Amino acid sequence: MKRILKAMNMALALAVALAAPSCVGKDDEELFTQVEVTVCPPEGVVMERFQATMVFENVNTRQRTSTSDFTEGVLDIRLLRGLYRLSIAEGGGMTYTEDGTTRFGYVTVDSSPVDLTAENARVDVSLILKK
Amino acid sequence: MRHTTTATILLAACLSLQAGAAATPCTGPLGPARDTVAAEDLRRGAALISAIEEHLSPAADMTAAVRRNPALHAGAFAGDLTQASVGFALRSEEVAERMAAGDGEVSGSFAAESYRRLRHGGAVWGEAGYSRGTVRNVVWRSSADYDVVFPYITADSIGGDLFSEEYTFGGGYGRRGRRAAWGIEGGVRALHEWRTVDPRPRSIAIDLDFRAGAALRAGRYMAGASFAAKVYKQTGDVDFYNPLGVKGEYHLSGLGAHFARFTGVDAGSLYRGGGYAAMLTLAPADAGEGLYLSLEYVRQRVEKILVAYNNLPLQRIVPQSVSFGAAWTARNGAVRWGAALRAQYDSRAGTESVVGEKISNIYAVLAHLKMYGYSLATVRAEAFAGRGAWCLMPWAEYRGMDEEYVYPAQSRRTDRVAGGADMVFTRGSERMWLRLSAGGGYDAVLQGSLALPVADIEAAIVEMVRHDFARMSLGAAEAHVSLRADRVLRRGVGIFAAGCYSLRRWNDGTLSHAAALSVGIAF
Repeated sequence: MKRILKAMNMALALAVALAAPSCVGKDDEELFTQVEVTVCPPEGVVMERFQATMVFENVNTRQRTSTSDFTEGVLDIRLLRGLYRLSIAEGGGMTYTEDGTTRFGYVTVDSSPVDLTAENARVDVSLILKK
Repeated sequence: MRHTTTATILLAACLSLQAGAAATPCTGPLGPARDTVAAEDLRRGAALISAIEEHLSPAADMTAAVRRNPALHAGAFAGDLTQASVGFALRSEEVAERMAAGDGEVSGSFAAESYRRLRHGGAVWGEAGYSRGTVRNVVWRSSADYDVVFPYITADSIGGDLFSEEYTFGGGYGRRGRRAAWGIEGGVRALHEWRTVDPRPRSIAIDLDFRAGAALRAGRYMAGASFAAKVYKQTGDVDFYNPLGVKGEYHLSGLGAHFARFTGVDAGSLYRGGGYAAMLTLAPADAGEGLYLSLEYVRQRVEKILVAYNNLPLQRIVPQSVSFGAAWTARNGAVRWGAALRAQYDSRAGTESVVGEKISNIYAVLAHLKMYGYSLATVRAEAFAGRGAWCLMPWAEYRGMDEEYVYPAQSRRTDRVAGGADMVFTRGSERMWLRLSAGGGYDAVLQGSLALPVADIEAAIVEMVRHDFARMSLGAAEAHVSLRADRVLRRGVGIFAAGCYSLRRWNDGTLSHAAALSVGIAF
């Protein structure tokens, strides 16, 4: 009888140990990605200053994350891993020099989704000047 | 499976008829022969009442977990009993306890079950059932079998009444020797659920399970193990006869999250999965008084596939549970008593696919993210003590539920304690048996919390989550009464009528009612 009870106790401990990993993944590293976004001005244009809010829309959940925390055209952001469509919020633009003349222009980006499912990602985003 | 059940019932009927034929005199109406018939009739009536008492006793209920090992089911009862009944049940809630479950239900059913001992220590058992009904005002659920597939439900905010019909068949065979026992059993359940106005879900679910077990004698106990395999499948679609202006169906992901990309009227889905269960058991070899132990681990895996999107595997839920039960039943003189402790830990881990762009009508899955977690810890202590016709059954229970979604971060937690008692009055003779039970209890909420980032969640879904949480975090008092009356007619065949009613009063003053009535035969 004692042996049976001992075996049952061991089995309970084993079963709980098996069940424990089923809890939601607390390890954020497996769920989030650290992304470095670099905005690239159009060819023939020198970007002087970039001032815009970039919107990351998760294509599957439609959740949106926005930030304007660019430093010299580079942004570091932590996102839930996923497929994202990047866009520039209305009013975002850059001061640039072209043919020796400095101007301000509103910008947009290509709307093709970007795969951000790796642990780290570097994304170069080509800016398109709005005419 | 169907054959097994039918065979069980036919076998039971044949055994009864054969026994009846043996007792019937083939000569004229002689006095002594008539007396023999009357005595045999009386003996068989008493045997039926004894079997009903045994099968429906508090001790049988308390030790039911151990009988999930079919090897121990074989020798679990000393009396044979077959019952067939038709019944009617209804539920009505002033405010739905959970929107997905509706606020009321009306159903009619047929049910048959049988347990028969055979020669040389063998036993067969089986059950069959059919029910048809309507669940009223179901909102936020178009998928069937909520408890199996949640949180990955296809749902909408419109809802309406849902009609359903369900078939169940099952049976088993076991054999017990002097030193060892073995048994096998299987079952199937089929469910059809539909609605006849927009949105028109139609779901068909089938559930198969098979279990085999063995046990060895260790002193005055039988120590056993069993293993079960399960298969689950549900196909579903939601039609809109007038799709203009409707948002369509949501594919919920847990709490307030949903897969917005696939929201729409193309809601055809397939749930496919299976699992296994392993169990250790200990029970007295004579199935009488003593210690009963059970320890079970169950793991399942159900995947939701979007048929309308080229069979895209969208979400996967892995339910697991560990349960432990210990019961002790005894008799001291005229007092029979028992005590039991049950502890169960259920968990669910939900994984979503990161679906890539559609290329040539193919949706690539880029990654899987474990986004949802759920756990429910239940501990229940119960006891019974009876003397003569009266039996008192107190109980107490703790339930701690924890549910969370990773991003946008959401969580829902409740801790509840409940307690109560039932008083049972039983009166039996060779031809009659009556059981009247009345009791009540109180279910209190120790704490409850809901964290929901409402700005990131659709307003309609927020309303649903808040509604369900508001009900979850309400205490309630409950009272119930039940009655079963059996009357033996002749040749060991009896009829019975049973009914029950329960009333729950929530702390906000709203009421919920449930009632059931059935009539049937037993032999």
